[in-house]
Amino acid sequence: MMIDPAASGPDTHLDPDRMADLYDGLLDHDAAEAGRLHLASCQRCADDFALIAFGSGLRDLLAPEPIPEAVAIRVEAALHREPPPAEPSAVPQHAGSASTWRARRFRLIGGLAGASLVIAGAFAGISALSSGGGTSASVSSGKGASSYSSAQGDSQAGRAPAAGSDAGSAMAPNALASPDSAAGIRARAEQLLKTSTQKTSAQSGPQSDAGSTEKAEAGGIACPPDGFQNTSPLGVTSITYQGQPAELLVYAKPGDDATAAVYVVATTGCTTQSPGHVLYSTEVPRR
Amino acid sequence: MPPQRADLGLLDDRDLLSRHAAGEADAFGELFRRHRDRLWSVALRTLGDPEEAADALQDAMVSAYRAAGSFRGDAAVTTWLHRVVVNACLDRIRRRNSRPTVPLPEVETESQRPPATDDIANTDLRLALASALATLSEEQRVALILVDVEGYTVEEAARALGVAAGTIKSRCARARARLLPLLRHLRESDTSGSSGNQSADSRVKVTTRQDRREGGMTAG
Repeated sequence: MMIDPAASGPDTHLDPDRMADLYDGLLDHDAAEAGRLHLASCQRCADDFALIAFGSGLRDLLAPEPIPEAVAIRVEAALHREPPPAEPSAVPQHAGSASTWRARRFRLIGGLAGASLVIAGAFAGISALSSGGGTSASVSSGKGASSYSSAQGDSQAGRAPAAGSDAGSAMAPNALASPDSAAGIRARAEQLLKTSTQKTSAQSGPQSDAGSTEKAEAGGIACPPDGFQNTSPLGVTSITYQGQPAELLVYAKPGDDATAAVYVVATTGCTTQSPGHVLYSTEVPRR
Repeated sequence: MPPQRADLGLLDDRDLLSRHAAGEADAFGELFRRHRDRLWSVALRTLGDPEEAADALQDAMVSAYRAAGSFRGDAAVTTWLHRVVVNACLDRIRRRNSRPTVPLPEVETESQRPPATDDIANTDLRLALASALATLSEEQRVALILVDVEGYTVEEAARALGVAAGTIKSRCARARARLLPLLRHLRESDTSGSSGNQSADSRVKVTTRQDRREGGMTAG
C-alpha cells in the first residue's frame, strides 16, 4: 500500500481507513513510517488516530432510541404470559460456609437442631422457624424447570430458576404467603417488630417466645447490611431465604420514626465488619 | 399489602429485581419500563434490524424474568440486563449465520456507505451516527457496539464472539474509521459548543474498500 507523498503537506490528512491500516500493522515499512511522521506533525490526524485506535466515545454520542410502542406492548405481553417468578433452586452449600452458618444458627436459636430446618410454609410465626418441621425449600424448587425451554440469553442471564407450580402462592398477599415471598418477609419483620416492642415496653430481658429465634441484639450482628454496621437492629432472626442461610434484620429507618427498614442478608462470607450481601430489602410500618 | 405501581417506581433497580425474585407481581415490568428505551437501543444497534431487534429484546426480557433469581448482585442490574440483551442478539446472529445464505457483496454500494458530513450538514448528527452504525458490516458493528457502547473489554468481546482479541481490536478500528467523519464532527461540536468552521473536516471523504485499493490519502 502506498501513502500519498502529499501526506506531508499542510492541507492533506491521512485517510481514516489508512489510519486503521496503520493501527492494524498492514502498511509496509515505508508507508507506516510516513504515516507516523504525519501523525507526529498533524494534530488533527493524531486526534483521529487516537479515536480509531483507542475508542470512539460512541456511548456518549448515541442517545437512546425510543422503543416503538408496539414492541413495548409485545414484550410486556410476553412477560405477562410468564408464570410468576419462581423461587430459585436451593443453592448448594459450600461445606465451609455451611458449617459457619450452622454455627451461627445454633448460636442464634439456642441450639435447636436442624441443618435441614427450613421455615414452615406459613409465615405465621417466626416460631415456625424453630419448629423443625415444615416445608423444605426444595419443595418449592426443582419443579417445572423443564417447562422453560431454551430462551435466548439464558447463558448470559444464568441458570433459569425453577418454576414451581406453587410459585403462584408467593404472589398471594395472604397469610399463606411463602416465607420467601415479599409478603412473608414483611409479615415476619412485623412480627419481629411486635416482639421487640413488647420486650421494650416490658423492660424485660430476652424472652423465649414459643421458641422463636428472633432477638434484638445491641450491635455485633454477624451480617449487618452496608451502612448499618454500627447500628443496633430492632430485631433479628435467622432464616433461609431462597435456599440460602440468611438473617432477617429490622432497623429503625433513619429519619423516619414511622418506618422500619427490613433487610434479608446472606450469612455466608460476611463478618461483623464487612457488609452482608443484601438479598432482599423492604420497609414496613412501625406501629 | 402488595405495593402499587407508584410504590414500585420509588424502588431502585436492585430492590425491584429482588422483589421480582421474591414473587412480587409487576416488579420486573417496572424494571423493563424503566430501561426499555436503552435496552431496545442495544438490540436495535447490535442487530441493525427492527424486526430482529424486537424478537431479541422479547427473548432477552423473558430470559431475564426467569433468571432473576440467579442475579448475584456483582454488577448493576442495568449492566446485567444489557448483557442479557446482547447475548440474545448474539444468539440470533449465530443462528442466522449458521443458515446458508447468499453471501454479502464484497464491495459496499453507494447506498451502504455512511453519509459524508457534507450530506448531513443540516441534520441531526447524532441521528446520522445511529443510522451510520447500521451501514457497518455486522462483524464491525457488533464489535463496536460491544466495546464502545456496552463497555465490554476487548477480551470480553472476543470471548462473547468467539474470535481473537486482535480481531476485535481490528474490527473496532475499522468501524471507527468508517464513522470517523461523523465522530470527529460530533467531537468538535461538543468541545467548541458550535459547529464552527468545519469545512475542512466536511470534505474528508468516507472511502470504500475500492477507494482504499486505489490509494489512501484525501485532501482536506
